[in-house]
Amino acid sequence: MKKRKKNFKNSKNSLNKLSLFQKSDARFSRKCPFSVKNAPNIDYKNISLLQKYITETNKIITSKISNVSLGKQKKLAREIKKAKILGIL
Amino acid sequence: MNFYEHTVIAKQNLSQKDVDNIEKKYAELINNNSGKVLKIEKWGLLNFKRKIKNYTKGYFLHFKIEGEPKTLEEIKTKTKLDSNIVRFLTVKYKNLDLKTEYFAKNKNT
Repeated sequence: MKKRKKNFKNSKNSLNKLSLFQKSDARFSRKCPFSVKNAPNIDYKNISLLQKYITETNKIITSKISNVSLGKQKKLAREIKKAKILGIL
Repeated sequence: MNFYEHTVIAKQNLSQKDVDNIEKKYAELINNNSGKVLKIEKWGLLNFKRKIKNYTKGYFLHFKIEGEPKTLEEIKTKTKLDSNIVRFLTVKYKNLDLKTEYFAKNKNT
């Protein structure tokens, strides 16, 4: 009996709820890509990295979308502006 | 003593000799004014994303420097008067890493 109960608990996923009106417990959160171990170095010479955080019209993507932490976002914006002065980005 | 990175963009219509002369000229300027050139990187001819002073390309020269704020003032005043240079940028660093080269990889591939 105990085993059955356990299996039932594990198989029950909050996303598989039938009704739409019940709130799901799952969160769609990502960690900041620069505050992990062995993170890539933010630098104005590292163009291939900076291009990921820029739109087609050369605007900086907000941290709400890209999930970059506040301190790293400030640094990113500064490095992007430096690269724009040199005309590389 | 502080560490700096100094990049200089020369005009596209210069010959290879002129670019080498510019590199020598600024290396001497820095060394004479109580500074020291640690490394020079040649990024070569690169395209601009936007036009700068009606030019679409430019020769990029990258200096890694150890020096004082006096030396930077000398360099800035000289570069502003130089007609062969389109634009320049200096950045201050606490620690320089001399190993990683972001633009050298593009040449090999």
